[in-house]
Amino acid sequence: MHDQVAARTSGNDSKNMVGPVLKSGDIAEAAIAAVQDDNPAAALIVENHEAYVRIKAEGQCLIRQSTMEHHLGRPFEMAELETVLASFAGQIEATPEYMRFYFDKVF
Amino acid sequence: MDNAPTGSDARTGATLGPLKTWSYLAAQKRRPSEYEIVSVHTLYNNDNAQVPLELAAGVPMNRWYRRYRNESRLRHADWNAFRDPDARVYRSYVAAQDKEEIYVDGLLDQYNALGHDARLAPAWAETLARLYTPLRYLLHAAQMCAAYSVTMAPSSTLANCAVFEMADQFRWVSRVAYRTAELAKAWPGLGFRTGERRRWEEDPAWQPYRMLMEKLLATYDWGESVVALNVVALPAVDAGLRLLADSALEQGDPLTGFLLEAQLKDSARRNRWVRAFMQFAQDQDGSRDAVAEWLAKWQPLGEAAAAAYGEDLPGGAGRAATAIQAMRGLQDTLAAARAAAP
Amino acid sequence: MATLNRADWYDIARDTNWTPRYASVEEIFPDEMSDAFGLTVEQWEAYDEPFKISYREYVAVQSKKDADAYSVKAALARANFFDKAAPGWISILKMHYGAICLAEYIAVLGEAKMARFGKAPGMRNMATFGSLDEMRHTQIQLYFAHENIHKSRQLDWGLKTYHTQNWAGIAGRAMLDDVILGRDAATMSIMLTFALEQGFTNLQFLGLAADAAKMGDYSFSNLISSVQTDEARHAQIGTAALKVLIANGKKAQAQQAVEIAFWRNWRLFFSLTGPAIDYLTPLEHRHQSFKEFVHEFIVAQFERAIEDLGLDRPWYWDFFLDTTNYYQHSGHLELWFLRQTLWWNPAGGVTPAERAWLEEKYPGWNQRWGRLWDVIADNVQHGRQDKLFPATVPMLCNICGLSIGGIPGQGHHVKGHWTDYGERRYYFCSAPCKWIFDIEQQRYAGHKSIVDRLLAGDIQPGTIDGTLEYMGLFPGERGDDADDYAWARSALPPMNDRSAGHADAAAGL
Repeated sequence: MHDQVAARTSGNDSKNMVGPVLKSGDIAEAAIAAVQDDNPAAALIVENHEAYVRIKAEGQCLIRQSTMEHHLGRPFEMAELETVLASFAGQIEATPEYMRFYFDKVF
Repeated sequence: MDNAPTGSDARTGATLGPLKTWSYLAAQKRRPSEYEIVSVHTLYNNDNAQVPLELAAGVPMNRWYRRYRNESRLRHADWNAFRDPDARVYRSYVAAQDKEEIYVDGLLDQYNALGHDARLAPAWAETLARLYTPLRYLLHAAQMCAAYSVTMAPSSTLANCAVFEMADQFRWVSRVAYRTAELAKAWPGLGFRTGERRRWEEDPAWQPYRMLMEKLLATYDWGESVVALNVVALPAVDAGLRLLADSALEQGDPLTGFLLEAQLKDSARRNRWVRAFMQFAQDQDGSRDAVAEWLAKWQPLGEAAAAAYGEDLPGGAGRAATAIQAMRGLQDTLAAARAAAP
Repeated sequence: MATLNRADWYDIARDTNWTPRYASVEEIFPDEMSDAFGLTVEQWEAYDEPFKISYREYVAVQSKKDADAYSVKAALARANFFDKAAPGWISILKMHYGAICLAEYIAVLGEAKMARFGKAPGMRNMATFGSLDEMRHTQIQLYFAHENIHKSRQLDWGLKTYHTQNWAGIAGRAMLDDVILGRDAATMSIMLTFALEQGFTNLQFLGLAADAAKMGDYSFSNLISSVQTDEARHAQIGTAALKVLIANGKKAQAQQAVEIAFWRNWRLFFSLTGPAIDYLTPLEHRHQSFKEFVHEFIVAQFERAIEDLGLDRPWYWDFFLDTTNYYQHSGHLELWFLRQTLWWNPAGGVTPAERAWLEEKYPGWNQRWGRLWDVIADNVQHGRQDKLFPATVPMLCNICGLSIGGIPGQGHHVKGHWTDYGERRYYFCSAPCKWIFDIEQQRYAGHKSIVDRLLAGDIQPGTIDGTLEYMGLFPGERGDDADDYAWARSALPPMNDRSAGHADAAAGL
């Protein structure tokens, strides 16, 4: 089974966990850091599956372009996240400024 | 043919050993290129002419393939033998187009920095609103027609050419949309962004092009569609774009001129495979007769379209006849069957 | 990047519908090609693709992905992974390429059909990228498969499977043609991009990528996870379509389309990905069980997406969940028995350590499946060759093309499912497959499984060799046990004391 590399939750997986599944590598690492910055209030779980990491945030998962640049230490266009975005839970909103995962119906 | 055992030892019950390439390509003497390894014979739904899809023979899409592809008068004994002269594969396509797009970004940024759009003559800006930005409808129709060629192509080597063509058309739909937004900022009130659909639907300069594309969209015979689109319609569109580029340069709009030049580079690549394809496809009388008939039917529409559009451009009246002459020459070159051996 | 933001011009590039005059809307968008739901062009204009990307971004991002995937392959080429890997893993690679490469190509055509006949410009544009994506998947996977083709004739099936009458090729074509080209653009957007791509491709392309990374097969892991990044984008075509359909009162029809495609895909993916993950991957490199992957990607992720869109769980959901406990086990046993008909060499995957893992992941595995493998091992040890192959041809389902089986022995609950239509009886593996047939009988009737063809005398000579040759399999490419039965010889003490040991394990299916 996978292990959790980061967690900010006391409870179990909720039904409203959303977020990306990313190919492992430097962009994924930066995204893990960015998710923690960009979703300060959300419960978070990051699962390590070696080839990929699954990031789960409760309710909504936001990743900002500027936060990615900060953690990567280089210019980063949001579209570049697609090079590692292998799957995701929830719906997606993809803009040049941020990528957002969310549900319409929250339980 | 496709289901026959491969390798001469198959019939004798001897054990098949590994080959240096796909058994399908092993018979050819040359070592296959990357293009051949990844492009040839990747389409399976033309193996069974009577029941192309693994569903009941009578389902609508089986009928569609039989009627519009397999019974088309454009015939060849082995469509899989067709090769793209550019040997274009996916990875070389995206790499090459990434470079081209970087060039276009550079153009746009440079001219934007120079305040290019604001310095256009008002009359020319109006011309762009009327005769340039509505182009996205035409190009999108071409994108759709190329998509149809992809779904109907009898071999993967041919379908792949159509995939790139479809993508190229969308590339220029996007760039024209980009320019539309820029021009709308510099020239509010000329109908940029809001007026293109009405102009495409009503302006007399566009109507013959529109008729050409709408009739093409409703043409489902695969052979007729691919010939009319690539040998007639798109060269007719390019003739108009060349005239537009000439006018743009004359009217102090180098940006539009350079963008059109970049666009016509994609057309040049298309013309290379179309020429090779037409030579390849017309190796039997039936195909040649069909092509001749289709050209006779579509060429007048193409000419009328290029003429109506070209003559409406500033300075176009004097140049249109020569441009149409050149277009005919190109169409003849594209349509030519391979010369019979002496 | 250029001066304007994408949002400043993006909507203009998808404002490309107009009112035709020289041909009718019906001529340009015939229902049979465009939209079985019968929505108008105007209704479709509410379509809003959620995963937006421009052409300029597309070629930049995709050339990056390709540069990465091809350079990892090149960097590892000298490591000769293929020569050193466990036989079971090599079998996975052969199975994967043979089952996947040309299936991707049908999706090139399917996406193009949406690019032509979708009534929403946003759908047409995203499907234009989708078609390019699928060309990438065809070509890059063929290229990777071809790298080792001189090492095994079985790798020829990367290009060959779908051109043959192999039963697996027939089953693959039947599923793909039913959910892709055999459908109008709107229905296809649900069946292909929502059910198949958002649902199932994750299992094969991320499940196996996880195992590949543990195996140290970084080239393959990187390849297939890179492929999946394209899927994540263009699979969203269906999400937006479902929203339009549901908003226009077409929920019931959309629901049915999801249910048909979901089931058809499940029937193929359990048989392909299930054995790969639960049996063929070397034990020490297994990341999760197949059931765990199914629960991660299908139950937690896809089922939640269904609910979020306002659809219901498929009517057979409880049954589906139950089958995640055993389909892959019966499928694996069956593939092993039918190994001569495959282009890869299935590994037994039932050494004592592997059995312990299976028992832990699937409590009751030994009771249900282990005892059958005991019998096989015993037959191997006693040289009963005739018992190591099926005594009869398995009965194949007339929808999914896979064998009609279930849990053997205790709890055996194979029920007969059939429909009489026209002059013959059609048999099915399960209630959902029968349900699919009954929705539109004339769509599937007349189709002959390989068994139907044998019985009808279409295959001559109807011998084993004749049938294998009909399926395109010649000596040198037919599958055999990946480990030359070593697992059976060494794994167990001889079982002389088992009087029932002579029972034919295949008959238990």
